[in-house]
Amino acid sequence: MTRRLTYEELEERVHELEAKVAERGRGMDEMSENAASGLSEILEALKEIASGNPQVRIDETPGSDLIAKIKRCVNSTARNLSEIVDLSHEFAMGLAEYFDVLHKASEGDLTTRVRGSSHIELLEALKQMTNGMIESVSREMDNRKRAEEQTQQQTEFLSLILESLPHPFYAINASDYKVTMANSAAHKGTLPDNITCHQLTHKSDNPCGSASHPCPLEAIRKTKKPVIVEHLHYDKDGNPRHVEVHGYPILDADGNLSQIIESSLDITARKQAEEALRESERKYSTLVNNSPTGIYIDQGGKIVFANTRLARIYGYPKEELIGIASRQLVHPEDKAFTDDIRERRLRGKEAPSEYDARGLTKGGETVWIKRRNTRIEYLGKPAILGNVVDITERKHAEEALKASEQELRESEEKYRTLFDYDPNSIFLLELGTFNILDVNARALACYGYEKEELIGKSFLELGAGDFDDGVLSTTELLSTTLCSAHPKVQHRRKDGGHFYVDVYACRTKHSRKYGIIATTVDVTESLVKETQLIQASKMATLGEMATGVAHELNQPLSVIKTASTFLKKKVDQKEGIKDEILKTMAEEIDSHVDRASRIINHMREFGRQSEVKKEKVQVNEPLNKALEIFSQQLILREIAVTKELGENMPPVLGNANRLEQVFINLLINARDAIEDRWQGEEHGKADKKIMLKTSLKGKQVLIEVADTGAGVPKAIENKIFEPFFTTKKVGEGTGLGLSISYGIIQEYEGTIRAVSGKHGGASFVITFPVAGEKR
Amino acid sequence: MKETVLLVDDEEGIRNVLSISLADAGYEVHTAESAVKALEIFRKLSPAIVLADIKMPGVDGMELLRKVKEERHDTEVIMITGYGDLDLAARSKELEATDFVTKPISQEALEIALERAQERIRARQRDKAGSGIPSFAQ
Repeated sequence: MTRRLTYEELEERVHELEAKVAERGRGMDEMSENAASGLSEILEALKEIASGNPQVRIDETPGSDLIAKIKRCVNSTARNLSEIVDLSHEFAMGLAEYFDVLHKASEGDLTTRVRGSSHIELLEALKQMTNGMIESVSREMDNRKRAEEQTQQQTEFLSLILESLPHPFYAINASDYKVTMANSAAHKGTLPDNITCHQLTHKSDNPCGSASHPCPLEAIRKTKKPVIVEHLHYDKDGNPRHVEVHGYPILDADGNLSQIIESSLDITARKQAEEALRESERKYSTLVNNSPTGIYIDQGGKIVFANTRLARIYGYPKEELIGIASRQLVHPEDKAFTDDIRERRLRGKEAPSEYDARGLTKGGETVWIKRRNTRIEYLGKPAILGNVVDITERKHAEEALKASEQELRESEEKYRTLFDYDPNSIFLLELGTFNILDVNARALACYGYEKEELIGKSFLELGAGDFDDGVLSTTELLSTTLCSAHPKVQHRRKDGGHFYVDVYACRTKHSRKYGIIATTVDVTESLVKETQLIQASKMATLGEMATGVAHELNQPLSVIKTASTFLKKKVDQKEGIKDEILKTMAEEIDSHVDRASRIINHMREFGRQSEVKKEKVQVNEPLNKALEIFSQQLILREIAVTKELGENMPPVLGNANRLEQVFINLLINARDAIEDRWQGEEHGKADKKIMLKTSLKGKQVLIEVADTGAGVPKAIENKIFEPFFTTKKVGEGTGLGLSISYGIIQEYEGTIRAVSGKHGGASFVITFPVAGEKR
Repeated sequence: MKETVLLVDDEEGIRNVLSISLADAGYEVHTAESAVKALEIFRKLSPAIVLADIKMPGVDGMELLRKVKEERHDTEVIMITGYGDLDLAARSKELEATDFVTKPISQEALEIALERAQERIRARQRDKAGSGIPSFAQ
C-alpha cells in the first residue's frame, strides 16, 4: 500500500461500503431462492469481518451476478480491512511510545524524548509536538526552581527579622480577623488555629470598635492606608500593656484589601511616665494652691509667684500680687527688722530662717505671720522662696490665754479668800478614802487642829464615837448622787470636846481629780435652842398634865395616909396592934410608896432633856408610857381609851422619850378636843373615846391616834402643824405641841397628817420607816 | 353597937387599909371594888353607911349615890373625892350625900363624917318615936 490513508478517509470508505451493502440489501427482497444462500454466505463472511477477522474470503464464482459482485465486494472489503488493521498496529505502537515519554516527563524526567520515526504523518507530528512541549516545560521548570529558591531565601530572611523583633508583629486576614501569622513576641508557643486578632490581643470574642479602641482593620478597610492607633493589649504573658498599633494594608492583584499587618509598640512606660508627670503636676499645683502655708517667690524684691493661700492671708486677688514689692506686705513697724534679715540672707550672712512678724493686708489690717525663707534659684536667677503662716489667731489666743490665766489667778485668789474666810468649816476630801486634802482656816479654829495635823487625816476620824449612820450614808450617797446632807452629826475637837454639825457633802472636780467638798456647820447652838424649845414644850405638857398627875399620886398617898394615921392612933391610944394587921399595913405602905415613886420617876424621866441620839424604838412602848401617865386624867374626864396595838412590831429609828412627848401631845389634843365637843352636852358613855392603833404596813410602822372630838376643820388642816398655831383660848396652850411633834417626827424620817376620823373626830396618822429600811 | 359600913373603891390598897381602920373603930366592914358589886352587896346586906369613891371606872360613885338614895333613902352615903374635886363634892351634896372626904383621907375627917352619919341614924331612930326632920349639919 503506497497511499497513506487517514482515519477519516478509512472510516469514510467503510461507511461508503456499508451504505453500498445496505443498498444492495434492499434489493435482496426480490431475489430468488438461490440468491439467498449466496447472501447467507456473504453475511457469514461479513460477520467474520465485523468480528475482527479481515482474512476471511468467500468463493466468488457461484451465484448470480449480483451475488458474485457482492462476493467480490466482500472480499475486497476484507482485503482493505486487513490493510487498515496493519496500519492501525503501527499507529498504536507509535502512540505507546508517545504516552511513555509523556508519562516520564510528567514524573519530572524532562530529558526524555520521543525517538522512533513513523511513516504515519500524524505520529510524526505528535512526536515533534510532544518533544517541543517537554523541552519548553523543562525550561520553564528550571526558571521556576530558581524563583522558588529565591523566594525561600527571602522568606527565611524575613522570618528571621520578624522573630528578632522585640515587639509583637502579626498578619490578619481582612475578611475574618483571623491571625495568619504572628511572631514570638506576639504569642507564646504555637499560634492556635483560627485565632482572631481580638482574641489574641484583647482576650475578647468581639472585634474592637469603641472610641478609645478603634479597630485598625476597619480604618484600613476604609482608607486602604496605614494607620496608627493606641490600644490596651494583653501581652503574650497576659499583662495589660499600652501599645501603639501600626497597621499596614496588603492589597491583592485587584486592589482589594486581603490582609493587614500589625505591629504594636509597647508604650506602657511612656504612658505611665506621662501619667506620673501629669499626676505630679496636678499634685504640686493642688499642694501649692491649697497649702495651709502661704508660698511666694521673691525675685529682686518683687513677687513673681504667689499661691492662693498667700493671696488669702494678705487679702489680695492672686493675680494682683504678682509684680508687687514684697516689702509692701510687711507692717510698717516691722519693715526695718525684716529688711535687715533679708539683707543678711542675700549676703549669705547668718539670718534667722524662721521668725514672727506683722504683715499688712490689702485692707490695711495687721496680721501676725510666721515666716520661713529659703534662698533658691528660680529661672536661673537667685530668689527667695517664702513660706508664710497666719498665726494671728494663735497670737490672739495667746493673749487671751494670758488674760484668762490672770483672771484664773484672780479667781483662784478670790475663791481662796472665800474658802479661808468662810464662816463654816470646809474640807476638800479625796474620793473614796475621805482623806483631807485641804482645809480652811475656820475648820482649823473650829476643830482646834493645826493644818499639818489635818491634811492626810481621814475626815471620818473627826466623828465622835458612833458616827456611823452619817458616815455610811455619806459613802453610799456619794457613789450615786452629787450632793448629800447629813444633819446633826456629832464631831470631836482635838481636845476631845464634842459638838454637833450639819455635814454637806458635794462631789467636785479638783485638779482633774474627783473629790468631795465637805462643809460642816456648827449647829450645836441651834441644837441647844431646839432642845430647849422641845424641853419648854414638854414642860408645858407636864404643866397641863399636872392635875392628872396629882390625882395619880393621890391614890398611893391616900393608902399611906390612912395606914399611917391608923398606926399613929393605935400607938397614941396605947393599944396593941395585931401582927397580922401591922403586916398588912406595912405592906400597903411599902407598895404604895413604890407606886408613887414610879409615877414621880416617870414624870422625871419624861421631863428630862432627851438625847439627840437615835436608837431603835418599838413604838408601842412610848405609846403605853404616854397612856400610863395620862390615864388618870382621862378617867377623870370619863374618856375611854381603846387600844389595838400590833404585836411583834419592828423597831423604828428615833428616841423613845421624844416619841412619848409626841404621843402625849396628841393625847392632850384628843382630850381637849373631846372636852370641847361634849362640854355641857348630854352624852353617853361611849361618846368620849380615844382610839389608839399601831400596825405594820409594808416597810412602814403606822400609828393612829383618833378621837371623838370636834375634829379638824378643813380650813385649818394645813395650819395645825405650824408653830404657835392654836385654837385654844389664850393661856391654855402654847401652840407648839403639834409643831414640835411634827419636827420630831420629821427628824426620824416619819410623816404625820390629820384625817377625819370614823367617829366624827380627828385622826392623826403617823408613819415611820422600819429601822434599817430606806424610806 | 356600931353600924355596918360598905366600902366601895376601885383601889385595892385603899380597901385593904381603910377596912382595917374601920373594923378597928368597931364597924362591920364590907368592901366592893366597883359600883355594880357594891349595889349587889347593898341590896343583900342593907348597910347603914356606904363609903364610896367618886372616880371609878364603869359606873362611878355619883351614880351609885343616886341609886342607893333611890333604893333606901335613909342610907348614909359618904363620898371620897380626889384632891381638889370640890365641884363633884358640891354635886354630891345636892344628891343628899351625908358628907365627903378628900384623898388622902385624914383619919380625923373620916371620923367626923362617920360620926355625923351615926348621929343622923340615931336621930332617925329617935324620930321614929317622936317627930324628927333630918338635918344636914355643915
